[in-house]
Amino acid sequence: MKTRSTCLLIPMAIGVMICVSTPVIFILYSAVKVDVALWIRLYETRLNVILPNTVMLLLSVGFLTAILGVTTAWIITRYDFMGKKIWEWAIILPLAVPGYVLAYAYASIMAPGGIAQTTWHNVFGDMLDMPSLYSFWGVSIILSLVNYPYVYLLTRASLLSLNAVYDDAARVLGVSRWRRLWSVNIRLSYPGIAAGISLAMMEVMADFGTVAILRYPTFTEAIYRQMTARFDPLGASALAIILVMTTFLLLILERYFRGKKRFEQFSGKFQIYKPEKVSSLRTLFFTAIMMLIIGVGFIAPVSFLIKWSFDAALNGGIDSRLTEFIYNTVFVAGTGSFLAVILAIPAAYLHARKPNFIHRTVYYLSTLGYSLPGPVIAVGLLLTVSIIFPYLYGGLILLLLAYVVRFIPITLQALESSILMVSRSLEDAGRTLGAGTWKTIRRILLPLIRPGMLTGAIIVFVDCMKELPATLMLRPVAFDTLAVRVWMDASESLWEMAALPALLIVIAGLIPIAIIINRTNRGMRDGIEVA
Amino acid sequence: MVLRLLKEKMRITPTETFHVSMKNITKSYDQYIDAVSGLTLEIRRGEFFSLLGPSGCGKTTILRILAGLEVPDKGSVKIGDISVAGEAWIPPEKRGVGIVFQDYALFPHMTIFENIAFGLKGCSKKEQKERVMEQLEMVGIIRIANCYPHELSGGQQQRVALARAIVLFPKVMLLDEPFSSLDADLRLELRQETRKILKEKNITTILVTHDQEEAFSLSDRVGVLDKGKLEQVGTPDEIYHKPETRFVANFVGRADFVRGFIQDNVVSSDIGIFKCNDHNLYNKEEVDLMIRPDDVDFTVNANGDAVITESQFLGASVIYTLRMPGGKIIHSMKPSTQIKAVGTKVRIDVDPVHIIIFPSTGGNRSTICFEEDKKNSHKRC
Repeated sequence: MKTRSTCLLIPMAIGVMICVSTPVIFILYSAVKVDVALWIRLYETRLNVILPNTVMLLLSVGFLTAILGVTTAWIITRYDFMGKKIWEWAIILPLAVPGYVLAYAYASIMAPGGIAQTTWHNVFGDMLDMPSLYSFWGVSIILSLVNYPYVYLLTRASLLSLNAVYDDAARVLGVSRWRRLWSVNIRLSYPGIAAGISLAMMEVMADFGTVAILRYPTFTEAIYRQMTARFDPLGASALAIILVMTTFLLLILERYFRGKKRFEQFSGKFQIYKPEKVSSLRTLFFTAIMMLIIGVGFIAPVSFLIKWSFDAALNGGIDSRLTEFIYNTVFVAGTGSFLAVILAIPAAYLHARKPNFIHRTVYYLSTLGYSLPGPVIAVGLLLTVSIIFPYLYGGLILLLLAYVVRFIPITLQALESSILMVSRSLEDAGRTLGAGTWKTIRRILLPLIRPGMLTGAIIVFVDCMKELPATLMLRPVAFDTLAVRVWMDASESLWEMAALPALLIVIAGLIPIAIIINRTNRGMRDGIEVA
Repeated sequence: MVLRLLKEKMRITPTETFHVSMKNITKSYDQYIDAVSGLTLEIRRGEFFSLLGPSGCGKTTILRILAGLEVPDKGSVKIGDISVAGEAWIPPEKRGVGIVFQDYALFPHMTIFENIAFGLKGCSKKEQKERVMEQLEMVGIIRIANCYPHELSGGQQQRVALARAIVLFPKVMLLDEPFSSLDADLRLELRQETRKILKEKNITTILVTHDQEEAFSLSDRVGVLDKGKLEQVGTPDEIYHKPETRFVANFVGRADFVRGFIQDNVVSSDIGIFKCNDHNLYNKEEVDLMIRPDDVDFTVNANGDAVITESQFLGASVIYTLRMPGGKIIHSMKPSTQIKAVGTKVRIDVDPVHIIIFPSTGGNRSTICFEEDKKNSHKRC
């Protein structure tokens, strides 16, 4: 007895869900067909290397991001010193730099005959070899530098929400500063720290560009090779299945810790921490730490990108097809983000407004892509088209579909939270004033959630721009985007040529950072004000 | 096409006889089993009817079912001669039912003019403007047509919400606690103003509220709801003075229950001995007598057997807590012209016209017909 128009939303949402979850289903389907002989061959040729590599990388990045993220969050939340307001947000700038751009920048800085090599030789002569970036530690440091802001942001939030009475209580009980740090602060905010580390580890599992540029084989890189160099879809999906399960596990861990976010703090009086004013010596020390981290993670590499871009411009090293690359990038990222927003509307609406079992299931199955690294999505889509839609192969549609699968969880979430902020009675009022479901959505809901839609679209746009592995595997022949150019030029050691595309990606990456800062500063806007 | 004609008929012919009837309505949600269960209710044309009950009693669900915003699990709804739910289904946009929501639900991205004009279809720009202005004039806020809702005060928002619903000539108007977020003074003013406008236009109105004073002061009839069931329907006077259940007795005002004993149609209790005309009462049975503080009076008397233990000053009146000889408590309301001190000895004087008897074992009202047994009134048990 429901109205017809509401019912139309359900098949639409289910249609999107099927599109989005097909790649995973096809990977599962082919992985089931993998026989023991193939598993053994895979183990001998690939897994024996990439398994320990990946585990080691996860552990080292987990450790390093924890150190960097917790230290910075601690300094920012517990001390008051000059410039704190700036450092508080500047410290997340490295989030704007994709791993492969940072890897390329340092590979170029430390290249033979480059500035780092020369300086090293002047200082140490031939006594000591410069440590190589193309190593376990090189990769670990690069990936830690781009991912520690996750740990910082979540730890900061945790520490800020901590009730200071516990610290005061411990103090009165005569517990020393260092023991209080560990036994009260860290232990009470560990869910936030753990969620941040899990998130950083997920990014490591999904990373392709960094490990590929630094020639450190992990799962993503192995899947890419298996698929493109050997065209072995079975082997690729077998590897993909392991990768998916690991990322899924990390995702569950992250959700678990985020859900716990806070220990049950009794709901009595909330005492906020008053940051301690520090001496000028300590101010200097803290400033040095912040400068070092941001310098290495953002300022130095970006300065070099700027310098190389100028050099390239001066000596004609800029690719003549640059405008074409920019056009391609904006076109696919724009279309991809537009589709991700539009296609998310039915499921987000149903989940926000009528959260029954079916709608919840559709919503969560549509967010599966969040835990899928780019190469996995690419393999899944290639398998799908090779089996059911061969004519889609090599077309732009496949690439756009990959973006939608990967990034629709972001728009789903952005739309849902915007819809939830619009009072339900506004839609009810529209209905009773004579507007049907569609007119109500079009004239009342959509205008009111426009800011949320726009934010979601911008974040996805930039994510599409930065996306490397799926773009690399699915793009039509000779269709180059900025990310693809950075990777290809860097792989061929054309350092200067890669600089400008890389710089453009970093600049675009600053936009979501601004959004994060804005949102955290003001808290989510409650209700939509009309200008 | 049929629906269109129907809509025209419902909206445009103002002289049509009209009333709302709900039969055996049942509605459950995931988390709420039986938000409404087996509810039957009929509302006369042009009547101002209130649904009164505590939060979570299902009153808003009934309103949403009437508007077509919820589909009942069972039962049917008719507006006039037309079945809108149950046998047939007419969606909210075609029902011709207006609502004023608790939060007013003014569209924040539209001006007041656009808000009121939102539902006006099929008429020229000029006509639209005329109708909107006419409404704004009616509610007395013509200046604000080009403002946005957030620039308005609560009272103005409420008026706009009413105007927006009335401009479509609804035959039924639903008010979902529309006065609850206003200041006390403004609330009184707007209540009467709203009632006047709706009565003038002879619009059948159903108000949902948890405030008995509001329901009493506005309504022709009141329906008291508890846990999804109608406890009683009647005029405000009937609801207050002749409650059928203990829930109603307690919900609509302060009530004391005093234990009594019934024999040969005479009830004896701590507050007096009364005759009862109802011969259906069982003999030799314990009963509870319900009495309201406004029917309990007392006189200061040094030999009185009751004593004031507490007094609660309410402004115009004072509520005294009196302890009777057996230690039982009863409340009395008196004008605050002369305030009696705590500890004063008094003699209780009860006006029995509104005393009601409930069986002591629980259950609904037994009888209401009383007069004081003058012969025995000095004797107390």
